[in-house]
Amino acid sequence: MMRTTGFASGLTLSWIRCYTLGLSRDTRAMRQQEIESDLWEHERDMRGRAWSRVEFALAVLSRLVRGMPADVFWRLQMEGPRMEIKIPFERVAGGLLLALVAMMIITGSISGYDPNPSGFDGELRRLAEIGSFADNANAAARLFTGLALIGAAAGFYVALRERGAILATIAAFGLVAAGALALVAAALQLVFVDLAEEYVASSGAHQEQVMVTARAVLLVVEGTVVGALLALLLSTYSLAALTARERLVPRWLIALPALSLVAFVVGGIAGLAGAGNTWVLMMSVGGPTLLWLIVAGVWLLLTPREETAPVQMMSPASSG
Amino acid sequence: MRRKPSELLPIELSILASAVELARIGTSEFYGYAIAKEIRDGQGAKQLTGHGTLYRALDRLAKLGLVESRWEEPELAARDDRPRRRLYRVTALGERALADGRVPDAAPAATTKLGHGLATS
Repeated sequence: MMRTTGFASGLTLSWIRCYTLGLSRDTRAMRQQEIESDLWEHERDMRGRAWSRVEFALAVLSRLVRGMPADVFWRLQMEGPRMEIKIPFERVAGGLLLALVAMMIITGSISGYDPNPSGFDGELRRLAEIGSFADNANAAARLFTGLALIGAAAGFYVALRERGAILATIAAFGLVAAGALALVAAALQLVFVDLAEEYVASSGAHQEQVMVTARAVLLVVEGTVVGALLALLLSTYSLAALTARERLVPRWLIALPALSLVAFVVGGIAGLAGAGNTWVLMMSVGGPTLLWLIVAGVWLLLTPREETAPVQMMSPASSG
Repeated sequence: MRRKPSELLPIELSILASAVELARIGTSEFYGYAIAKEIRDGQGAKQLTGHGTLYRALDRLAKLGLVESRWEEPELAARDDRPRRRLYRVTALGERALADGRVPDAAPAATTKLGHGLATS
């Protein structure tokens, strides 16, 4: 069957999906099919009059916008403002995967200070110059990220446990661990900032003592961040395996985390042999992982789900 | 301002009038886009009725028993390679409502939630 085409028609159908959210499947399908038929007839009619696609799109958008208040009133009349919104688990998982991208970047961004004694004085002075507002905002973002990771663990577990309990548990465990470590790293970061300010304000032996302490704290922060990122990797690999196995995303997508895993193993061996390059390792492990999160997240969010079969409508009068 | 239950909106009267006119020339059943076009042409308007306005009005008319509807046979839609149409027909009660300009007393209340009169096949 020919379908309606174009941005305006797609927008109209998306709006229907939006305002019918929470209604029964049959009601939603009926509304969707009726307006899809309308759009198709409209498009065919306008083609017959040799109207351009732009004119058709404008006409559809005009009908969409002018009808919106009535759509909202219709929706409220159907069941009142109370709704039982059931968001498909694919959409939940997709949204969480995309959120993980931001969380992974924020978690990783705490790292990157140079603990080398020769340049550490400059690092501490640079850090001390950052205003307290920026420090607090930074800490708040990290606190939120840590809590969000723990929340995401619960979200993934609930959304995916029926598809694979073991992999969903591993993924959730990885996220909880990453969240807890991110919270620890955020707290240590605040300590590190305090030490940097004290370093700048002090002198002599005390200053040297503060520097030693600050370096120790920084090394713990770095270790904690690495631990959090490893936990996130573990979680992502589990999610990739689960979504590929259940065919929630195209199976070929598993190549990205597989590539990341190979890079991780090779980089680890090279690191043990003293030949590792941290930057290359981070890019080759983190790059494909982030790419998988983005592609799989968008896929789960936007791929249309199976539509319900058309419904047969009887007249209200004949139904008794 | 809340309207009276017996009151018919201009768009609802337009739908009934256009549908009766279509029936008079031999088209006893109509679908959403066809009636939108009929209303536009009949009123000499430039634009078609908004989707929400049109289908909300049809929904209320159906609940009041002034029109009845059915989905056309899938074979027909498949033959023409297009989506299935939901076909409406004005009932005797609807014709009376058009003549009176108001909802007849015999009409069912339109406040019931959708779900009545629906059956899946």
